Amino acid sequence: MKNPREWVGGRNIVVCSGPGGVGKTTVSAAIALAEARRGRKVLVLTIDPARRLANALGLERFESDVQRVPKEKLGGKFEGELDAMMLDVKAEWDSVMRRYAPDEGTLGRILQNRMYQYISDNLVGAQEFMAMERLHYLHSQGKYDLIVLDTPPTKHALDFLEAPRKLFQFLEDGAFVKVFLDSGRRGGIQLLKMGTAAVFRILEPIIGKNVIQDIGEFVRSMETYYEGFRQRARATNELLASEKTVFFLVTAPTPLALSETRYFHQRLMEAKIPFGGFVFNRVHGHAPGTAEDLEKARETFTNPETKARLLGKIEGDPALGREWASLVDRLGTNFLNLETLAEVEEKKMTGLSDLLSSDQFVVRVPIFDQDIHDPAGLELINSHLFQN
Amino acid sequence: MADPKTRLDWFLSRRIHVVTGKGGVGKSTLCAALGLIAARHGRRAVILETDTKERMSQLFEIPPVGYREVEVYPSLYAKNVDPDHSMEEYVLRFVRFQAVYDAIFKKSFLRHWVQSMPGFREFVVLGKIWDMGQAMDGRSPDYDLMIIDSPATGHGVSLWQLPESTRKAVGGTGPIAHYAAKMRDYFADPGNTAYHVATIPEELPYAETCELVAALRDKMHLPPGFLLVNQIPPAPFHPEARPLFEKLSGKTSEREHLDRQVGRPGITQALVRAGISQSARHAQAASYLDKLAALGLTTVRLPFVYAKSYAKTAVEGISLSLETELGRPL
Repeated sequence: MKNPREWVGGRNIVVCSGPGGVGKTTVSAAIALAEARRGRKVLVLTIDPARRLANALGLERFESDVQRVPKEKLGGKFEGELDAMMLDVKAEWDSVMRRYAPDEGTLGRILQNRMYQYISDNLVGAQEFMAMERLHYLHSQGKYDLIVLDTPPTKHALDFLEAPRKLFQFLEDGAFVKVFLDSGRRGGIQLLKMGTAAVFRILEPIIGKNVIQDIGEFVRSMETYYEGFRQRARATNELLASEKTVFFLVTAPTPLALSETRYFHQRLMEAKIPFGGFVFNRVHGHAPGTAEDLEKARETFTNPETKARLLGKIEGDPALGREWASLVDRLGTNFLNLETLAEVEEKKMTGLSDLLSSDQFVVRVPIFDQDIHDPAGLELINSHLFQN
Repeated sequence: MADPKTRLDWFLSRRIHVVTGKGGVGKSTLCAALGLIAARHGRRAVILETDTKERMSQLFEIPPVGYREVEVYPSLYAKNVDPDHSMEEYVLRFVRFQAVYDAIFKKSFLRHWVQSMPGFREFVVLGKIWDMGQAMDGRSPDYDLMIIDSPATGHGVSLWQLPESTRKAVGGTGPIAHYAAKMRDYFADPGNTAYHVATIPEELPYAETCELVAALRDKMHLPPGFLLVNQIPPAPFHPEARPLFEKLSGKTSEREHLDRQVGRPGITQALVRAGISQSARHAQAASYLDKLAALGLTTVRLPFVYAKSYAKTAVEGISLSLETELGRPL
């Protein structure tokens, strides 16, 4: 079995995927911090809509561009560097359009186009597409030894893999709109005689003439970008499927999270994406003690001698004595509740672990008494994630 | 209907309930629980999911739920509003003839183009839900009440913003703009719709909830419903007892003495540590409950449920505690 350290150490890109609400962002930040401490130049990039990564890294807030995490906030000295970035989809679209603009005129036209504004305005899938663009850009710049990418929740993981394809489909199929409009402008009656005109006559009352023109204009302006988009998307897909990358599935041992994880694992396998293993976060571990032990413990705790000694010797609040029996009962009930939880979780995790091949890992990160929201918490996670 | 006095009355007086929130906080379960409450109060209710992977089958222990609604409980239905089926139904209302629809959306090269237009599929899903909502105004409605299991925060915000962004995209005029505006107004009507935000009392979900409420209520002006605070860890004991157990946890000789009497090494520490951890989690949750209260929404509190199987029985249990909570005055 390859452990998480070996997987992370040998890769340039680690993608943390999984259902929502399991601490994916936190685990991403923890991995990034661990690798920076080991001397690598690391970037953690989150495309999750909520700006949560900042909290865990002890930052106030994020810029929509790469930001250096100050080492003094991370406690202790180390050789590596840690950068963080939260993707602002709208800003990212504009910066992509600027970065690859053929000329000022085209750039101006595209930024003004209503269809462009609509598409770039934080629509489903656009975010994942832009994350891919940013990943490609950062990777090709070669500034980082490792990029840790935090993805949106599982159900949209499909968008994450498919968003670029969807937009290309739109542009490719939209090309005919441009042809139609161009021919219309030149008075191309021939085309009108074809089926296309009939189709437009039906479509127009539904979506409106001006919309078709906007789309035509959009497609025309995008034409010069198109090949670049396609090449980068292909390169990114190859990168994600290559030996430079590994996907971790971060999940929590709750039934719903696990069933989503199972589904996503299947999708990753189908897409032949390199998969490292499962990180089970917030696991309730078993404690020693059977039902019989508990019954005996209850007897022991409630017998008058023990009660007197505990309340006296341990200097407890005397008022506790009056409700001592119920207190002990509740202690037992709480223990049983947590054991029930641990049992359910263990069963579910075992079921998922059966899916793994020999070089993939399972790590369990326990639930802590406090939420992880600072660098010390990230170190605590790492002590479990990267233990030998 | 007279002015609602309890949260329950208010809940039953609104017909469209959108449940959103961070992923993993139990949105689907809460939708199921709300549906059960509506059904128990004589409403014909339907739970609508908009995702590729529906959850109601798991929660109600039935075969997968598809586009055709199924009765999951007496008077409670579930439906998965998938884009493909919605598109056919919804677009047909404009196109009117199946043959024309087929020509455009099934055979034509346009099919890919229209379907690949970003946001189009989501728009169609919303259109279908809008359609179902309007049907509730009709003379013999199929349903009295609709519960929508909305996508998690970011995608959820995009979804409910879609009518307005579509309206802007088409320049504010024309048929699409017209429908988008009507759709937007329909889903923003406080007499009809309520947007419930589900969360759990922890740091990061709390931060996300604040952002979500700001987006829905303050920016998009959508009518707020309940703040459903789920999975609140119950207190293992009165907070005053905690110092006692902490001291016991630190006294090795005392613990070993007790362990010997029980006959199981480590049992005392296991019991005591479980209690202390739980107590810490409870205290932490309480602090987030205080902060969440500052959002000024009607807050509904639900305890964590310890169950061996998280299905029908658990959902019924949750719906009962939810109903008790909703019995409180507004």
